[in-house]
Amino acid sequence: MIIFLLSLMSGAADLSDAQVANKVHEAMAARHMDSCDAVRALGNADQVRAALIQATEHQAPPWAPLRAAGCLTEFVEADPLAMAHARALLRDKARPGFVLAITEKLDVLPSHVALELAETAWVTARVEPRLTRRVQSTLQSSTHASVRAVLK
Amino acid sequence: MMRFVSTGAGALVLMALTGCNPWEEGSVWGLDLVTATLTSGADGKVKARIPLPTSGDTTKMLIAATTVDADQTVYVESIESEDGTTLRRLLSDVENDEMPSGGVVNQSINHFNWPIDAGDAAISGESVTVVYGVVRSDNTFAPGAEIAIDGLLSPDPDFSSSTLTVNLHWAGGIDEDPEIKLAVEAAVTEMKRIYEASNVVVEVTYQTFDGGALPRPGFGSPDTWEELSRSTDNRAVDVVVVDTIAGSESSILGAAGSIPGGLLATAKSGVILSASANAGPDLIYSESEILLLGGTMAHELGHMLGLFHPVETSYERWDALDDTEKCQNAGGCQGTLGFNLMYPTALCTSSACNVQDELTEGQVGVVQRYTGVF
Repeated sequence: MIIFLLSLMSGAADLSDAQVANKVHEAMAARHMDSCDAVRALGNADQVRAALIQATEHQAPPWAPLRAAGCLTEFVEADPLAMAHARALLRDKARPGFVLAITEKLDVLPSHVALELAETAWVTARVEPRLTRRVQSTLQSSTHASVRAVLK
Repeated sequence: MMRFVSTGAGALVLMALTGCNPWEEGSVWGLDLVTATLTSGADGKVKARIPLPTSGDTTKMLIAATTVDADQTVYVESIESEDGTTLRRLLSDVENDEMPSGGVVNQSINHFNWPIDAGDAAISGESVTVVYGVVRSDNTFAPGAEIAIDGLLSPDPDFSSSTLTVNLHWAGGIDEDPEIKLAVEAAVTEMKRIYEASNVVVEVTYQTFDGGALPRPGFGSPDTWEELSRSTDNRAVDVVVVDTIAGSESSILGAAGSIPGGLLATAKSGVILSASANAGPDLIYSESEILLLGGTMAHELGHMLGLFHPVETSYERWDALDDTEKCQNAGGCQGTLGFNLMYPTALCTSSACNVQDELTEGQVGVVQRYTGVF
């Protein structure tokens, strides 16, 4: 069993950046997506983060960049590059769907990290009519008191 | 009318002693409806002998089995003719990593449509027997467990050309957004086009559902989906369009309650679609995104009508049809199945996607045998 697991792990580690990017794109394009944990296992952390950032720039299928943004959010605590990209997506007024995809992941993050993203998200959402009510509802129901307090 | 009914070894003896027939017969939408609550034997199995109308004109049936104990689940092992001959052992398909019907999956509400595909025998005689297994949450068989059966029996003489009625429900006030409404209506046109190629005409009626936030069918409170399903009293599949699916990430495109799905009101009878996820990050539908939404609608309806993905994304499990290739990897599968409606992944470059609108003859055979298609 241990040998089998090791072979799986080395299999993931041996993939090239392009191969990981293809696998991540395929996972994002699936009609019924696996969990972000399953996506995380497709390569090493740097490869998967890079592939997710790349996928947020794809045009098609339309759900792929939203999923990529959601999974990327799960990286932000330990990865400054992921955090920087998530913050950039939250400020992207032409693509407000990213605010929805990222804010619904806040509860899986530590409070201080969630707060940082929530504050950025609310700056965009409060002036974008398609977002205001929906983001307000998401932040209001957060398990983090600090996130709920962003609305006050 | 009394018929001999078997409900597992222990219950069988009891019935023989009491002469009790557990089946009640009624009708709904002009179809025969048989209902019973049956008890599993010592082996955790229930032999549900479904009584058929004496007219002999039943050609298809959709059976919902619901565990009385919500912690238990039920699955279909096999189906037998009146004389005890096994017509199909569903577990044999599963042992070959093939999925013949969602009925083989343990579920608290189990939907099973018979016949499944063109290779199955026609319904005949005074009864057919569906053999169920009832399972506890610790994955052991549950002796003495009760399941409620609702069997919808249809006399549909022609499988080759049929109509499906869809009740499309706008939920959460989404129909107040004219852009989304127009996009969904255009997507419905695309969905109809896909099924027309298989000689299935889809008729769509529109209504508004005011019952609050909706999760995926089978999730959250069961009352919400049952209420929605009861709000339209016809032989139709319910499809609900919401902004985002309650309790799910906004990137979940849509989901069918089960494979196949139910027609009678249950917590798993319906399809849900997310308008936000299908519009992408700009939340505005382009022409190509509308076509994709139509494809998503047709894909989820396909699950409802009994279709599996021809291959799963693990490339280690397939549907049980003979004419969908058992491909082994992404490259091979994309080449042979990439344009199939039920392919599990949208095939796109970073800017455009294939139109996935093909169904094989075998898949069409499944669709046309679904009891909601007639």
